[in-house]
Amino acid sequence: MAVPSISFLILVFVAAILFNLSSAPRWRQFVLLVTNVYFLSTFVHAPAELIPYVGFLGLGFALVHMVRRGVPTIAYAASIAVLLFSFFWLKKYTFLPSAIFIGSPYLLVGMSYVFFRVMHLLIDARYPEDAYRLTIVDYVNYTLNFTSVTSGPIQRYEEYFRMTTSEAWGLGPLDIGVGLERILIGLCKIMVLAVFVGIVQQRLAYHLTPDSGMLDRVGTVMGLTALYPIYLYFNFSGYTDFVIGAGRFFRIKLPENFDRPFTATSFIDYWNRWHMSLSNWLKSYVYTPLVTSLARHVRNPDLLPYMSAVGLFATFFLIGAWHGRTANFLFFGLLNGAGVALNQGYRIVMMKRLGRKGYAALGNSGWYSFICRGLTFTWVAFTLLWFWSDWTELGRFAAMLGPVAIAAGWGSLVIVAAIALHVLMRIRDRSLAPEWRDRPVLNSRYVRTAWMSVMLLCVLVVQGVMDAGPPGIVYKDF
Amino acid sequence: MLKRDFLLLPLIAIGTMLILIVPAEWAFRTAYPAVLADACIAKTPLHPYAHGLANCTSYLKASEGPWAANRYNACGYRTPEGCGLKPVGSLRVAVVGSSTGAGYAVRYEDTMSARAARALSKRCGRPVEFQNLGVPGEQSRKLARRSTEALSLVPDALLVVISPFDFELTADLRADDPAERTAKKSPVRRMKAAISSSRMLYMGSYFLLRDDGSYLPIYLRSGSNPDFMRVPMPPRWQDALHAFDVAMAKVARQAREHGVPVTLLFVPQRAEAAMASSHMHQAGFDPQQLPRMLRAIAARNGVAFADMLPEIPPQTPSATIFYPVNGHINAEGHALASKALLRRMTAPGKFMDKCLAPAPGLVGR
Repeated sequence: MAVPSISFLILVFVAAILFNLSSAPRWRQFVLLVTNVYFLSTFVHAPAELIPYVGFLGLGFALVHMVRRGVPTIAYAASIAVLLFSFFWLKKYTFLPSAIFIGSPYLLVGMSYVFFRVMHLLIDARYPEDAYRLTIVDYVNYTLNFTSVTSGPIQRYEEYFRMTTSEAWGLGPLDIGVGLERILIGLCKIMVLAVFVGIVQQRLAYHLTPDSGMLDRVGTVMGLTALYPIYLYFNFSGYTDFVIGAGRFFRIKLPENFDRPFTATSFIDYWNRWHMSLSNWLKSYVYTPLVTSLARHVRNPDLLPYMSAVGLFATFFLIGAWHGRTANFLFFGLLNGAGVALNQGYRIVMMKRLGRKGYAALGNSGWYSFICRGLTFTWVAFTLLWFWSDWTELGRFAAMLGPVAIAAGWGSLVIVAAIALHVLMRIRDRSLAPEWRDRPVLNSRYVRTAWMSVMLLCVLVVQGVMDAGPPGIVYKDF
Repeated sequence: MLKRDFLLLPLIAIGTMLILIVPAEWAFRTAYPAVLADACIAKTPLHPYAHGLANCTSYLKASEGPWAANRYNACGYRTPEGCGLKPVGSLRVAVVGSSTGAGYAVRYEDTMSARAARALSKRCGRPVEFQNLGVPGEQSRKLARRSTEALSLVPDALLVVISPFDFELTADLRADDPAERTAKKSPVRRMKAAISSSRMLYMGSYFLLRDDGSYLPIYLRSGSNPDFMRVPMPPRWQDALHAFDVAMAKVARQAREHGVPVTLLFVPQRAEAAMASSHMHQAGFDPQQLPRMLRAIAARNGVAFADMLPEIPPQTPSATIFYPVNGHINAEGHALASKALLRRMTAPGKFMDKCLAPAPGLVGR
């Protein structure tokens, strides 16, 4: 069952009606459990394909409870290692010998996101005094939450537990409206905006020939580079909007994954705004422990600030490498790690030169932010070349485009991106300016309802035109 | 939220959609009219299968193309010439096939039949007429029956026009697919069908997908539609080709008994043409697969084979030779199809022997 899809929406609405028939916690847990298991079962052709998945979940549950009861540090470390190995083995990472992999087909949908949830439970199990109740039903409903199992967002267990017990959201008419609005925004981003951007990028690649003129080639460099991050943003943030809206009907507040990432003025800031649930998870469970450990071992106090750069490199290399098992994604990880590490190094140097206040003043100046936005977007777009393409295809493009067009294209992209982002930010600010009864007019429920109708119509028209089914969510493959 | 919002908000939603849909749909229907069903094709007691009505005239138009008049002669064939006795000294070619062969939504003078007739008349130095028995919606399993009717015209050549649509039209192919049977009944599919009859959607497809860079990736992702190009060819298509092989064997045998040479003309589907003429190659798809297999079927049955694909110049945008959404070849496409046909028919063989020989005596029904 694809997310998003009409069948998924039907499942959400039917399950939500059943879920809200009673406020009894056991009833709601039961409905969620049945829905979660049913959703997962739609991805398999035979029950046997579920065995490795169920085995991984069972292993995780057993390890979490074992650690919660108290184990020596070596056993704790071993349990983390076992879980990691199981994940790498099931995902068939290429650094493991292929002879040990399972030959028959088995379910892997959402495995990465399930892994993050289980690992977070396992790591936090070391501190049982902070632990919330974790029955098998709680565990299954949390790890397999059908609204977010395929592509996140990654929610902490404590938040999920509070949402499903004491701090459940209300579900009045306004909440239903907001939930529907969020679903429509998601559908519009995935099925309209991402589709259009994808079409334009495909057209550019299709029409590129060795005979294209210099202006065409510069335009193609800019387009091929810039359009994919925009496509990915609409595709993935649209999915997030969709599932957050769906989660609302179950009174669950899923964490946000995006905060206008292209308005970031540095690569570090970008990763604070893009796939936030993943970067927050890695910061908590990789970056912070790593930097803390490194700081303990560094004797020279002048080197201490640079440990954060080392920690950032390792963390964001892992983020990049997590996306795929091939050399392309390892290189993508390398670029990400190098990007944040260099960014951090730059910050450290600038703070030494200008002082904290001077550096903050520089960051607040309009022209500096303007250029940094363009540079950040261009770097993001550059790293993503290895996300949607490979060395062979990139080599083919490079040969057809030539070094001059490539350099000119990327240089122009910095300026064009900076201008476009500046304009979009101004439009957004201006559009929220008109007010009625002390609230922005565009935020009024009447305007938003009309806008929802427009979005629904766009979705129906574009999907009617495409007639090829909804596009797949890129992040479902990770 | 106020009590009036429970009424007001749904009204705003419905009102917004109506304000957008109604004028847009009206504007597109006015600017891009279409008549897709041929009123002159029907089943009659004389012809219990779809057949042209005698002495009938209809007008067809694809939304993205011009008006085309369909004039049917006394036998119900889309042909300006009569279908009685062949005029002395003339040559007659009978054409069977579906909408492509019939010249769907293309003015008769622009069709491959008319173009080939003019060219052959010049080449042979005497009138050559094409009696067009092509019928929109014709299924390839009716080939033998239609060919029997065609051979009763005492033609000097029989032309069978085939395209990937014709295999898709084979009832067995679709009916045997359980997924297709279920999908046809599904309310989602019915809703999609209702929505896709919108002219706004139709022209949206036209503007969005007329460029091959947009069209090809979407088409290749559209489920089982591109299966005839998929490598290896799925079993359902192999079965359909086997059924066609059996049908062609019957046609070839009948034609041999009448001493009539047969030519099988392949007209590609739009994506096939786009891939064949462009530098874009998609792994797992081969646009030459179907014509290659049809060529083998033709050879096995002693039938000449003409292929339109090689006639398409490199880098030709497919929207210049096809109606992009409708999918049929347009006038320029028919020009290329007639080129392929002429290349084959003017090669040494029975038909050219007749073409270059002195005019025979009075023959016909």
